[in-house]
Amino acid sequence: MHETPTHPIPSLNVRQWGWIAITLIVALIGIGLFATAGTAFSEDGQIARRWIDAWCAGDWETMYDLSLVGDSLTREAFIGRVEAYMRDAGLELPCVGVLDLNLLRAIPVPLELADRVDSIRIFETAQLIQPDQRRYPLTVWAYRRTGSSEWRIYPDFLAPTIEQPSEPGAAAELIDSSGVLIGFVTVLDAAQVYTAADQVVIGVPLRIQTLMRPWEFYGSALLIGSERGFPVENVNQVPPALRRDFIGARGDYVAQNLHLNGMTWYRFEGRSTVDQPLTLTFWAHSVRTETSLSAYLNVATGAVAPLAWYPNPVTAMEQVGVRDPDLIFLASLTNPTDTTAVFQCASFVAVLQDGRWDAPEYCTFSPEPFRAAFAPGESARIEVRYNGLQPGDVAQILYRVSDEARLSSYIVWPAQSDSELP
Amino acid sequence: MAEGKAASTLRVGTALRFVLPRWIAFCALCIVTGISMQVLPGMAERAQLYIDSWSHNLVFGDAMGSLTITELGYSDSDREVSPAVRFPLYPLMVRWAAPLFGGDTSLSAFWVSKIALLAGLVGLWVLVEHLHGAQHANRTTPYMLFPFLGTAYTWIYSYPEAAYLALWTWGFVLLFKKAYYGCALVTILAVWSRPHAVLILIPYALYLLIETYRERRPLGDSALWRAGLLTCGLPLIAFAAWVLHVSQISALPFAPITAQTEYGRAEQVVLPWMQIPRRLEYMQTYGVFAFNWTVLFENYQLISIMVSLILFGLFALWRRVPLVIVAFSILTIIPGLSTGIFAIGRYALLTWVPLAALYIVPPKYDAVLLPLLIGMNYLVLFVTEFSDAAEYVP
Repeated sequence: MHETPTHPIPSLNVRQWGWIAITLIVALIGIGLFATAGTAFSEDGQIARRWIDAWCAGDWETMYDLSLVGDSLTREAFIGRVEAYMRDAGLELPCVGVLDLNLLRAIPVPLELADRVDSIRIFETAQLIQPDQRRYPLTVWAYRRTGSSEWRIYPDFLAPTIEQPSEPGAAAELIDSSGVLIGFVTVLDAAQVYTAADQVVIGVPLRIQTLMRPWEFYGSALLIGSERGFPVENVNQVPPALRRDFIGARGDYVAQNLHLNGMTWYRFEGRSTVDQPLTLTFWAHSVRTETSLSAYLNVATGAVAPLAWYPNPVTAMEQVGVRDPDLIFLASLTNPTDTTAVFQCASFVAVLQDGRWDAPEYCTFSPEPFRAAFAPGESARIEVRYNGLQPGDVAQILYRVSDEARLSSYIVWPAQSDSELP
Repeated sequence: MAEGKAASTLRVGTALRFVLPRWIAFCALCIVTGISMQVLPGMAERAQLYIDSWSHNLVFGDAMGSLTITELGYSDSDREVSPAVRFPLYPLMVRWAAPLFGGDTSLSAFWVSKIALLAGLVGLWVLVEHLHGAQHANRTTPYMLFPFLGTAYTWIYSYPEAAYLALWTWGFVLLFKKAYYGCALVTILAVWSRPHAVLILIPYALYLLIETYRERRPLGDSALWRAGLLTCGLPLIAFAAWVLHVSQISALPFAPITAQTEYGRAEQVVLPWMQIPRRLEYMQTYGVFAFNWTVLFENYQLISIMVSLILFGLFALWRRVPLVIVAFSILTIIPGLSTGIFAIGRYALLTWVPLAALYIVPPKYDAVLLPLLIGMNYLVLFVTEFSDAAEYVP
């Protein structure tokens, strides 16, 4: 018998197995790093990027599909809102969308959304780079619906897409980007609508309420359907008669713990009627908050009145005759506004038959002859005296008031329909 | 087998017994801090703070940058600030651990960073015990958790630095124990944790050369080259592979370096010590306006880091500290100081600098100093991050 030599089978001890295990773990980590580094754990960044790319490409269909919209906002209405927003902001296409994914933040879900939304992210630094290299900043909010893994972009600056707007009389909550309640806004009554041939001016009576933090900025916009109005920021941008309780539609600092009731005004150029529902959007930034969610409020349309910068106070005017050396007219004046108004004698301009204009010598205002202040609704009859004119010399008398570039002019004699001259 | 013997001499159990209770207490403190940021009046209105998540409140500043990588991964950088400057180990570990926390990435980040901190504190204890004995090793935990640099927020928040603390300390432990294969594995992970972690390979190489010289072996000695290829070669390949990979994803050549410019670094590279005259010039230009808390702490950190490095240089000459540890500290801080002073306290935190106190303060004064350090570290938070004026935590 031939015996073959035997060799002991080599075996690994526990420590060697340990090193093998550690080697495998490091190898697996390495493979995992390289394989997953370019992938996303959540798709909100990709969705946000596709959304902003769709915007810049003018692909409204994709933008609508990637947006979180409610049943009330149809595809056509959404597209109308986007186009109106772009017109309002002076945006052009094509643009380049910039989205800083490093500045992604999670936001607490407001209680009223908790049943529909389980996660909110905000991309605070997003920009649309315009063809002229102008950078237009945006705030992009991504919402993930409860029970769904899908993220959608909440275009809060365009429309109330998932939350129904607050009704008049109900306070809408203002939530900042940390999810903190920073105040309320309430529409108190129907809007006051003033129309002219080429513009509509709408005033919205509302209440602004701040809480424990002052606001560094607030803004609002009014929409007729999808059309955004120009927000009036300064009181001299509305007719004097409408300036009572004025609140700028956009403004800076508002102190904490403040209730502010007043009117915000919006101007719509190129239209003469209000033929669609009104929606007010309002947003505010508290200290250290760079952005906030927009609140939306339904606004009822009130009585419509003609827009006049300075309404005509002359209810009647007649020629009395000559009391040498003056030609005398008797004018009935009433202050039609609900604020005190000052009427000037120089506002009565006589247009002579030969086309020349003449100003009154004086009026019988009291206590001094050239001007008088009238309380709301107050009336008076005064004489307007033109020196050296004869009864046949005057073709018309105009009541004219100008304020820098704005002019209101009415034919007050001979009697005309009570309309402002263009 | 040498690996096994080396590991057997590590006093990990002793270290863990000392470190673990302090780590648990520190975690509790972190949670309390996060909850305080949640409930204190006005805090939630500040950027990156939340009313409904204490763990999210601890994902602040650069920690948020890492969490963004956790969430979104790396991507092309042509339209944004590139995330490629941050390395993948920590953010992707957070991502992988997230399912354990119901998908809550901020909670995952908290525990991944805290477990890494535990590993780092144990590694530091073992390293100091190896160099200076158990008494000094016991002093490392509090001095690292509440460093005189004022950068405890790095540990309180879910910053990625904790991962590198674990990796560089264990890298040196295994190197000094001549467990080169283990050192290589740990260092591969280290170079995937921070861009400048690759600089640790220089002190490694220096150590191997010194040991070869000390043992009177020739430079062509196969043991030297084997150890060098393991501890330096493999991590270097791993580092290069990642740089290439992330550059490809980011569509940016050498993305971890070139993208630094977008973060305000590398715009004006200067010699590190030139930061002192530059800072003096800055303060001379802006006068009293330069003296806000952030600038004040930056100045303090700059000076204390410089003094510590000079001190360690002297200690290395006197052979009280290994030269390679000092070289490692200097090499880690240079990229930060050469490209800007901001966050320099965090660069220095991941070196031997926080342990300068061990060499200067007699142990009997620890009980006096440590409460002051805890107070100072929270002061940094209160007067910088929590104040209206400061831009960031230095």
